[in-house]
Amino acid sequence: MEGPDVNMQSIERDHRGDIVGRWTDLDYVLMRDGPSAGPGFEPGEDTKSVLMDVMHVLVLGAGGLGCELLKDLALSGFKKIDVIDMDTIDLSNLNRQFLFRPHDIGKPKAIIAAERVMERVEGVTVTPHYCRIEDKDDDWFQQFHIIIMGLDSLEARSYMNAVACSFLRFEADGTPDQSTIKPLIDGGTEGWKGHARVILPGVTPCFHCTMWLFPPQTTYPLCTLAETPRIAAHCIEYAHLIQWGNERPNEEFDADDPEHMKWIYENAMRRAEAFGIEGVTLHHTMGVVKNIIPAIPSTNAIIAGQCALEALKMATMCAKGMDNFMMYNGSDGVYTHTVAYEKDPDCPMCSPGVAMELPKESTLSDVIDAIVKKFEDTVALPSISTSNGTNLYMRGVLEEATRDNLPRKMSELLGEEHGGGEKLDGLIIVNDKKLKGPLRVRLSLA
Amino acid sequence: MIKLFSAKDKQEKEAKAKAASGAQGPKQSPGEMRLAKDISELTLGPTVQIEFPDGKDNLLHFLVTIKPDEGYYKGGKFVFTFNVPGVYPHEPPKVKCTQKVYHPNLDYDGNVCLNILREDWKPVLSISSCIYGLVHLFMDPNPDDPLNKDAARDLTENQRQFELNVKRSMQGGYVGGQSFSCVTR
Amino acid sequence: MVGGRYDRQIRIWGEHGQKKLEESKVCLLNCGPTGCETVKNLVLGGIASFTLVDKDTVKPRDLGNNFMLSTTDVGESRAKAVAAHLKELNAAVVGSFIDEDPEDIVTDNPDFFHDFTIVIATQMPMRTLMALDSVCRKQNIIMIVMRSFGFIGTLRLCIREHVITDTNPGDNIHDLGLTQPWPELCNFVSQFELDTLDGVAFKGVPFIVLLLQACDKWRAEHDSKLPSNTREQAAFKHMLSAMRRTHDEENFQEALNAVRHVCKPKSLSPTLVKVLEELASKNLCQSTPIFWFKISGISAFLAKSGGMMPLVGSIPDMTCTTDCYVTLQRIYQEKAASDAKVVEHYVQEALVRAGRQRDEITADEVRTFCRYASNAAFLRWRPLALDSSLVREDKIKSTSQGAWDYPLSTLTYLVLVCASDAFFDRYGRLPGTAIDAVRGSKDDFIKLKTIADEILGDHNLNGHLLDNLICETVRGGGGELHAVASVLGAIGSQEIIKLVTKQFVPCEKTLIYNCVECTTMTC
Repeated sequence: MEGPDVNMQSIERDHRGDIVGRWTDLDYVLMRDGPSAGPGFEPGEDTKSVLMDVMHVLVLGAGGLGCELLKDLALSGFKKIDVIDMDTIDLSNLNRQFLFRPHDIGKPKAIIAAERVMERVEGVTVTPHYCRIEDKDDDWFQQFHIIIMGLDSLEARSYMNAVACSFLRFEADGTPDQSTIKPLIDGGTEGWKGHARVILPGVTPCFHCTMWLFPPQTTYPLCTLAETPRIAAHCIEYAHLIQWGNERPNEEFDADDPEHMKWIYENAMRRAEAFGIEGVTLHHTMGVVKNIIPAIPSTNAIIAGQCALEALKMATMCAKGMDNFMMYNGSDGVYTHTVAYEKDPDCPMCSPGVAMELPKESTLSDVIDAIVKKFEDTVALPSISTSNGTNLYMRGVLEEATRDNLPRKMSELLGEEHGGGEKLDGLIIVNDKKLKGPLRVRLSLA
Repeated sequence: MIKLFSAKDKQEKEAKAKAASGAQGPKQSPGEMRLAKDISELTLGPTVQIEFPDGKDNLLHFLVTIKPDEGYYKGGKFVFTFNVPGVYPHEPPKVKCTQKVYHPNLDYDGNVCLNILREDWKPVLSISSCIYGLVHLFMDPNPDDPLNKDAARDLTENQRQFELNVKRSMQGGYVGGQSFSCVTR
Repeated sequence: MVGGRYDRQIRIWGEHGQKKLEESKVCLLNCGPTGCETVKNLVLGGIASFTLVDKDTVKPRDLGNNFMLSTTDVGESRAKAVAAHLKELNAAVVGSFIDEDPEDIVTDNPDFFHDFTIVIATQMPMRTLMALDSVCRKQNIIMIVMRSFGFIGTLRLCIREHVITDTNPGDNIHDLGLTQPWPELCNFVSQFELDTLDGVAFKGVPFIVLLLQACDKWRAEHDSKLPSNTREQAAFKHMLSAMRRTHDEENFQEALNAVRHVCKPKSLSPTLVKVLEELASKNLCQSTPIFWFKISGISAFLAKSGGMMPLVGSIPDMTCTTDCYVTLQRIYQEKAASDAKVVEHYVQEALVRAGRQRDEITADEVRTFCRYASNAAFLRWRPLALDSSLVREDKIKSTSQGAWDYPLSTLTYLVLVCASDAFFDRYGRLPGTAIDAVRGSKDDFIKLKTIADEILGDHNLNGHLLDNLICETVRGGGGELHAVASVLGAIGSQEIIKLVTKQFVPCEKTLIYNCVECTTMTC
């Protein structure tokens, strides 16, 4: 028997305009309580409405993780999603970035990804931003409830972490003001390995607290490249880092320009032959020069799936959230390990620092005196900056340039950024030779 | 794990978040924050000058001028650009010489072979260590780790010739068919 | 092709791995999100073909959890609609579908599966899976079983026999062969007269030379023996350090870090030992896979060399001049080539003894095999039937010791899966799916708990399933959340790729993925 002829009209729709029965699987865990639920979970329509009508999330990156994230979030009930990516589609993306087709090559990832997800998943709005993360104002990021990072660069993650941490405010007792917590969910993959983590600035360690998790890149000594090359990578890096600048001094090297890459490969090859070194291939050359990280669809999907689940859990509390870092390795069996890393209590990005209250009329000099008095064991000759990078008073080479600020009123110096008001709160950064790292002081002038 | 979002206090929270956002300034990268520490602790001898072309509040890019008062390079004035990444000190500053200098550890493009700027960089090092390393290169050029092989060979084999070559190159003259920047003005 | 579609993955499993993937024919049973996501990843990776088997039409519910379906597909054959969307992902992959109940095919037409390299069974009851397992096992077809319910996913591989030629191709193995240096290497080492070298040349002596010269000294003083215990190792390091002139010689630092290379011969990896044991029990014949002939070559080599593996031939980068390095590399490569030649000879002998062609295997293949042989492995999966019977003493013991506490013992989940199946058999639906979901879930809780207790009783297991767990199972209603399915399906596709390429190590036991705790565990 042929199935009934179901056309669009016969699909029943609910008050949201959504197809009745569509979210059956999700409804089971949103409408019913269970022992896995997170703190304060309220099963029912209200929670579903927070997820579907209120939540506005941002995905950073529309690459291997980004494509998976957009799919997973759209099918986890998030209906307002923005995505940022500055890249265009390349043939080598197609083995995992499943939203792209050969005819999309050269087009912006964010725009195509958004189109494809909206074509497939009815009722979701994905707004693409074909730009760098840094192109957006910090305020722009405020509109999102959750920011999910599918990035491949340390720099970009660190940037986003700094933005999220800059939103954080503290109560008088140093606990984070919950309304200012901008949650981040971060995923990363390399070959069979990956990680997913949840960052609630002020509550769980921020990216900077655990910077040591990221090993530094391998670099070769320049003189080895120049004088005693031994392996293929030495020859390739020589052509890339030294020869190019010497022989094509007025051209910016572009790793995406095939002619440039060919030039590097041929010169590396010649150098290798001259030294009797084996192993220079175009494949290897591209790997070294572009610092290509091997990538497969499965690891991206695993990490993105867990990140999307954390977003779902965070938005609805239908289950307890991750605490707070999961690492994954699929090369030898299937290995996961979830660790609750600790915050760095002195983290310059997310720690509450120390509260200090001073009279409204205090000058910068007064503030310095008060700080020296309060921290007499650790601070002797402090330098003072604001949390947004204005250097108010600097010892050392900038002393002369900042000396004039000393007699100025602190409220004025902070007010330039904060717009004045009855009571003035400001975060200032104190540096001193005796301190291991910057000291954060929450200054209150009343 | 804490509950951040709920149906009830959603409007109230959003209003609050918005009010808080009014008080935001631009944020600072961890690199800038650490640089403030490095720079506030930086004291330079008479042979070194530092200059911040973008003003005292933008420390990520600066120039360091070294004027050796002894050794082969006495009388020269060597200018280096420092570009500090946002993830500093996880990664080292990028340092380049702006002039073409005849020196065993500099190439013609301004690349510097100094271990702490690449393979031996550690986050405990500072801008001060980098500047000290550069000063040291001019006091005591190292022919064992050469970037300019000819200069290194001259230094090991014929120090007198090396000295003459340095002098000539610093005036903007030719050495071995290469013309160099004049660094004595 | 460099920079081509598969560039990023070829960097992991190589051209030879990619070729095997491109020969794979995949069959998926049931087109829910778990299965669709698995096949999606495989299609992206570039398998030869897929065949989808599903009896259902597309329902609204599919639109909430399956990316391979959209609103316009409602009412269509689910297999057909999914096949069309999967094909968009990679034009090189052939796709087909069959609108039949997978369970019927297992019972009525088991020969159907013989055409496939891989059978992926998702959301199927245990009894059908057991039947399918015996079908696949006979043909040594790769079978993978996945099931996702609520926040939980389970995965189990079922393969009769699997050999891995390369458990970790990314790792550079540097077996330097320093405990038994060969004449060419000794010659090279003796060319260095350390005392006569100037400062720069002294810093440029490769650490291999430093180590071997130190060994000669040590042997002269220690009855021709190498340092063995920790005390001797420390003394050896001390002796090596005494050869330094300053304290910043990087080559000496490298030598000190590599002292283990001269202290005792590298023992064989446990996985290789297992392979060699398996070889001993085999009678190589016409139908024996070629892998075993290669292994027999290695085995014969080991017998002759006194336990030394054929040399890999690669050396790590080290502080020294270009000339030294290039010469050293050549010495190692020549030794590796001559070792491989010996192995090749043994392989050919074994082939001839088995009545096969001497040239059935090329010199290149043997050479590649030797490179990775130290990491070869052999795996077997038990028939699926044993899983459901829970007869494992270690687990029984742990249950009586109250191992049911949250976070959960892995066996718990298997009991749950069996109990859910039994629930389905008895009531025609999964627990937690009564029409009145809220009230019905309370009834279902009691029903599922009763069934679970019956199963535990049948298998003489003390203890009981934690109420919390039964409660959560009923809450999930056996539903497939897309993100859970996506994670589980991705793990499935990863395991398939490892099996097909015969590289890396697949999961040997039942895997449980718990997205609440963000953990995976095996049992």
